[in-house]
Amino acid sequence: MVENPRAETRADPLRPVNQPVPIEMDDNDPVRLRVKGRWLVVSAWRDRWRIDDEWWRGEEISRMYFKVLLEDGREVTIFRDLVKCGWCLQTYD
Amino acid sequence: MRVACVLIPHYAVQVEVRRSPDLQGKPVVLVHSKGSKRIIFDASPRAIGVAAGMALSTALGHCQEAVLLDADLPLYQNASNKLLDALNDVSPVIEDGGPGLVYVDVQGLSEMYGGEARMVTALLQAVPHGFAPQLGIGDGKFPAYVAATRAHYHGAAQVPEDARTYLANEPATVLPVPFKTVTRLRNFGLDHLAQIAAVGLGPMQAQFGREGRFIWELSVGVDQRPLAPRRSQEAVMEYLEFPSPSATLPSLLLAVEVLLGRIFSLAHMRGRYVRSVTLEGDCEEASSWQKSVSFRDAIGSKERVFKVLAGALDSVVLPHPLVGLRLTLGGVTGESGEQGSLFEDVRQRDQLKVAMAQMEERLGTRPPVYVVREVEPWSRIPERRHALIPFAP
Repeated sequence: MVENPRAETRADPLRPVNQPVPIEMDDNDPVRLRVKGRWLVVSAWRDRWRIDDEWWRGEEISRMYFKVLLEDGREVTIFRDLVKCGWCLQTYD
Repeated sequence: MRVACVLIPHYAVQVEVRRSPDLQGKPVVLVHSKGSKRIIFDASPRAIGVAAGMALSTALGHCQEAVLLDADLPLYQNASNKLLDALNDVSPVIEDGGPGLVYVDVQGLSEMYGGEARMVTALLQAVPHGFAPQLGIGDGKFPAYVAATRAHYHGAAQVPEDARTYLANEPATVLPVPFKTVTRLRNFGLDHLAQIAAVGLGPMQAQFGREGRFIWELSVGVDQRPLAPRRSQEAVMEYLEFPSPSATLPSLLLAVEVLLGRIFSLAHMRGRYVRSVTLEGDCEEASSWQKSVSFRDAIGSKERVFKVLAGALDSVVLPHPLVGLRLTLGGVTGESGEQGSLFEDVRQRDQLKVAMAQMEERLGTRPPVYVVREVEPWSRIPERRHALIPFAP
């Protein structure tokens, strides 16, 4: 049994919700992606849009979002970070 | 990707002929209403000059001896579902391409059936009796579709290795693009796929954009579109026969209540929720009536489903007396998709306060319980919109 460390669980005053979750993609376009260690083929692209924001700050945000249908029937939203060149999973309502 | 296309031309007419065999060999024309217009839904090949989408008055000008019938859309949908279920038994990945058109992923399937000939036989035999399917096999949906259009009834055709030559004489109308695009292609003198292929990718892309690339690739036999697999949904269905034909709302609601009671008393429906309901009424010597309602949230009780349905049926006028009613609950799920709030009910709030005090005592610190608050709900960046703040009861 893990002993209770009795350490204080510090709560930050504000914690962002819906943070991007990094994923692996084996191409420049969303064709096959890896979520939780499992490779999944993208069956179809449902939508695509781009956001560019906060360019006046030090760290600008530039993302290309894709709403895609996975082979297991799930519809997810992913984006390519055009500044840091990585792929992430994120809900976009 | 190896794809088989199962094509049943004039599917709706074939369904009608299956129901009433005396229509066999007659120029059957199915008509449905679009607003105030009467439009042709489907027509048998014997109704010469009549095509789907044509106005009824124009169609009658072409074929005066046509046998006119009201299109029974629920009947065709049911027949389509049966066809899809049957083909799903042959291959796990199929795509519903519309009435009488199914794409089947046959990659590696021939090995399973002991050769391509046996696989073709299995696919053709899976089609319910009474239809005349045509099968096409090719690398991609479009070449497979063209091969299916060239196959004989109950037969199959395969796209040869040189798909470009095979497709060359096909008219531009065969392309799966809007009619407006076909008209533009014709305005450029591009009537056949061979002409489009000869133009080259660059000029096609320059003139038609992304669609130009798609069209050019299809014209040379390349179709990279993946199959959109059919999603199977769990559904529960019950049927009731009226003692006498009925067209009144109270009797319809009574039947709905009885059917809902039957379904929700089933052992496997205990604790289950549903997302949609479809009512199909069988009419005497007339096309059937259908009404579908999708719920905003999944519902898990007979009373709530009935309440929503009663509201939706309030303004319904039945076109003919019903002799039977079929109720199908779709999207059966084990979860409600609803999350109750811990923070709204005052009594629960007090209980939570006590529970948090106990946890604080046990952990030696404030328990990590948070509430979600809007921060910048207008932000285009999703993670900026909401935040968790520590909950203080």
